[in-house]
Amino acid sequence: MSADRPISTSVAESAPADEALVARARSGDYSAFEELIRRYQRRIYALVYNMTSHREDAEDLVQDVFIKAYRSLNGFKGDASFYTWLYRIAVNRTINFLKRRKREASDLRLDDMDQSAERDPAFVELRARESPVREVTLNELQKKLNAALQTLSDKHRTVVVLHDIQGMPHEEIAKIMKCSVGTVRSRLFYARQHLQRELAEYMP
Amino acid sequence: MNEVRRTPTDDAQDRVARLLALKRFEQPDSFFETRNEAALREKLAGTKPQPAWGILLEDWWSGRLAPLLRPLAVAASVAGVVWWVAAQRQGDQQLVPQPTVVQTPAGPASKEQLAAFDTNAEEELYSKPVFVFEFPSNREPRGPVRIGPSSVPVRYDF
Repeated sequence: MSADRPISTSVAESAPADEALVARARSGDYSAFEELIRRYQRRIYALVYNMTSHREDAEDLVQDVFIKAYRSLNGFKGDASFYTWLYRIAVNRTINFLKRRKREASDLRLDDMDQSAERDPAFVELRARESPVREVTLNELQKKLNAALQTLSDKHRTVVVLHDIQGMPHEEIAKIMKCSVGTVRSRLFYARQHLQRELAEYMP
Repeated sequence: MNEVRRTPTDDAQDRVARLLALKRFEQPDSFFETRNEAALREKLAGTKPQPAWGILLEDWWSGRLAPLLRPLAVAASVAGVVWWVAAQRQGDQQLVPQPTVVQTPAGPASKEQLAAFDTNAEEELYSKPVFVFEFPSNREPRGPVRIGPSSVPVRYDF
């Protein structure tokens, strides 16, 4: 994960830069903002979904994030990239939402898992190991992973989701969470240790 | 080249990371993007980006102000309003007219009092001039009085 801007790599070279779209959107051009929505909605959804493990909540929150971003466009100073700014909004909104949420963490509403995950080396390795009880199914593993994630604190979960699921570098996470790189590394270490205990049955 | 030594902890951490990476295969349904864009178009119709001061105010209230401080801020605001109203009322009370002093009619003055009041009785050296209107009856010896358009003929008698 060495890319400084992992998201922008997916944007075609000829496409207008985020900052240009932001400038147009500020002057009332909604189509420019819609282009930004198209660029980032899947990433923001993935972040929020992995934080909440609830697809309906995630969809509502994604809309909330983009509405907040649109209304606050004049507050975007350009000292960080647009996607860092957008991610910051998403993380803050999600953490605020989770604080208010009274629902049990075990109440998961999960997205379907792409069956190609069965060919992923991590899953293949997991299956290849001799299991004294039974064969691990993909859905079972999915539920277990989500339940384990929900046992983490919001800040630890955010770091894990951004780094291990979204593939973001430590420096970028530090900018989003407004903390030091050392704090990010430390949170990642302790979050993984915690998850290791939670997922002990899937560890060799 | 220094070879980086891997510890069992590092390996365990990597295994957790690889397992978590499987979550990338969880995807929303294929209509998610269309649905999301349509919902946002509807919700943002007629909305414009807020001015910078509005964002600052909103951020200060919703995010930067610690939730614990929020009730305190409200309480302080209420106390401020109550104090202001009380101060206004107190000011109004000061402006209310004070009860008038009742003057009792003075009784007959004693001789000592009269002597004290009559300061000029003994020491008066000159008599006060008397202001006298000129009327035809008392100007006879001196001839007719000329009366201007806005003047009244007067004289002083000593």
